[in-house]
Amino acid sequence: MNRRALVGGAALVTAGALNIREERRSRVPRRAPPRSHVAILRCDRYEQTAQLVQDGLKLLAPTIRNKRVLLKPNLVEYSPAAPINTNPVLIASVIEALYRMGAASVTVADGPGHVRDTDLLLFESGLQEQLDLVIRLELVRWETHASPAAGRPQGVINNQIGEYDIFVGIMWRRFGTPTGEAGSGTEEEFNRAYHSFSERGVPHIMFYFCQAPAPPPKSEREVNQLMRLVAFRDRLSSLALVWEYADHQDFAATVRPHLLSGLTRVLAQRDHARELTSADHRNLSGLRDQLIQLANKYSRERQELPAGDQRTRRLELIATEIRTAAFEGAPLLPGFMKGADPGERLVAVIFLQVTPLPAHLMWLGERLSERQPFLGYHSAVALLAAARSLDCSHSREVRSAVALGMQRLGSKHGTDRYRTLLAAQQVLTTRCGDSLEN
Amino acid sequence: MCSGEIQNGVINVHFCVDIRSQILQRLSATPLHGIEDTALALLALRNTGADPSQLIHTQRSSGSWSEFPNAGPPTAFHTALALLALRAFPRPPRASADLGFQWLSGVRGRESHWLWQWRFRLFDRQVQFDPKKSGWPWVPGTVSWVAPTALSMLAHRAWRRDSPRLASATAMLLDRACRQGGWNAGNSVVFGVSLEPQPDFTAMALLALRDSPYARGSLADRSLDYLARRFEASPATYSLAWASIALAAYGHPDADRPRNQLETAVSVRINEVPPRILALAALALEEPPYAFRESIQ
Repeated sequence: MNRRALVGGAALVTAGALNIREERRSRVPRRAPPRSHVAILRCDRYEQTAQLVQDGLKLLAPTIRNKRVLLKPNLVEYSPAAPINTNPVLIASVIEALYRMGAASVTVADGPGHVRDTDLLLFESGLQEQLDLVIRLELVRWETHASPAAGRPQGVINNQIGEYDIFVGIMWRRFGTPTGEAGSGTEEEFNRAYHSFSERGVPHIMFYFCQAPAPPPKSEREVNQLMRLVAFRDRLSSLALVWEYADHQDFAATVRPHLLSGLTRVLAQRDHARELTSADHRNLSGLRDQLIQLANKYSRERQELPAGDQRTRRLELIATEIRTAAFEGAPLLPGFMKGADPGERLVAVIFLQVTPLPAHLMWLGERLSERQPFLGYHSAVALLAAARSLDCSHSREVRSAVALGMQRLGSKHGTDRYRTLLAAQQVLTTRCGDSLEN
Repeated sequence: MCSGEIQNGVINVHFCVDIRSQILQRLSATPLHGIEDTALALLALRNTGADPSQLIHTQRSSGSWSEFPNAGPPTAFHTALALLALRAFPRPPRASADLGFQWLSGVRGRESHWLWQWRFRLFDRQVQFDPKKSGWPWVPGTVSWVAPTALSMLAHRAWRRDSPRLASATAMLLDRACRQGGWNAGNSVVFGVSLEPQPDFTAMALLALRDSPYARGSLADRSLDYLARRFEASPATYSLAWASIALAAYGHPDADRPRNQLETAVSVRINEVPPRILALAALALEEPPYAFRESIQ
């Protein structure tokens, strides 16, 4: 083979390869690149974004209804000196607009590159505050929120429905069928809601009974249903304020204002939690300092003043001052419970008088062994408050704590502390009807 | 604090009232995902009969751990964290640790190579650091970062393992500290802009430097002051926990402030906080807070 032949052959091979490549390319169907629809609107101030985002989405008209939408807002890092992230107001505006367009859910998700504390970033960037302002009501019913699964049917429904903020119970003439744990599904759901309310203050419970006329029961079964309904209503009335509505048409008008007030309550709780976890930490620190001052004042006056009525009155004044801070200072409770100084423990005891908590009953019982009768007496008062106000499902725990307190007091039966503990026992028996032997 | 039981023969009740007990209860009943969850939960539960075998079984044959068992690249951060967790148990698995440290010794910041040093000196000058000083990268083949370097140093110290790289890692941390004190994730200056310190990285670096002479220098003082001041109004559990641990380890007079804030933050959100952060909070709420150096006390 000479050089000319070699060059010619190489040219032929190259041409052939190019030809094959061209032919293969022509077999690939040519597709126009997908077009993205973009709306660009001028915005001078972030206050305008809510309306502007809605206008923009109207122009694009995406199909949002019943879709689950994920927003990735580019959350990077926070610096007070420079804007780095997408403005939180804009994110909130987009969420609101999407819900208005019928989105089933909107999730905001991001993974900040090298900031490992997403909570810190959410808080400092202001996004958390904006997200908390977004409110959406979702009706949760077993018909729409449960699906077939193995297990006790009502148990499956309870698990699948999960957490909610407002419980709306509605009954007319039927009570329902036993679930294995309660007389009916509604009763079990109410029991669970009420238990959660007693423990954590949520959900907000609203129960309604329809007063629409109905023909007399036709069978023994229907009579039985009515009797169980009446018994349930009686029980309910002792635990909550129940409401009536005239007929089915009247229900919406009745429930709407209640729902609004319930929502206000839920939001207030949420705001309260947010305040506690955010900006008011500073105030909380201030409050802690004030309470420590009161605790010190208690210890000092107790030490300096001679025992007697005058000293007790002075100490009661301090206790009253502490009481005024009990709601606001509730998150400080764990710290004061652990206080080495009796004055700090007194703060915790007074807090528990104002808000009895089942988890801390035994700690109160233990306080009856404190050397300072004033502290022991207020612990007994806190147990009395618990006996008066906690749900009867906690009566056993209250009794245990009272029994512990009595044990710690030993033979001091003539003291106010012992009498207060006895009163707590009596209140329990009157309210809840049980006793230690039951 | 857990109260005792009633001796009346009828009732025998224990109520755990402090938030740390609640955290530990929750941790022992919560499914854990990933090595950070597992390692920190093991540390938090180390005195309650926790079993470290789950962590040992997720170690790769190379000796490393990755973010999730059998998924993703091996990382120095998770390997160091796993080693720290295993060290806290009465009979630490030495063979597993040997493998882990062997892997760590072979992983170094890319800037430690002379070619990359020249590149950073001559061309890639947007970030300003001394490439001669290197520590550990997050994953092999990348440059050193503060978190994996600090945890690798702590792991070496907890296991009393010496390494010629510790001096360079210390120098790297000092080199990359922010001007005002504290540490960001990696460098302190990028594109000519000084970066703000981050509480978690600052705490990790401070803990890593605690046994060095620099623990008593002005950088440590400025960094501690930054941590003490940082949380005037923040509910961020993760950062509060790291800050509490570091401030307590240095005996800072304001160590109780973030700790009290942490208690409040956790008690309000205990059901929302993920396991790794709950575990870290439990470590921060120990008396004294766990300082990732148990074996050398």
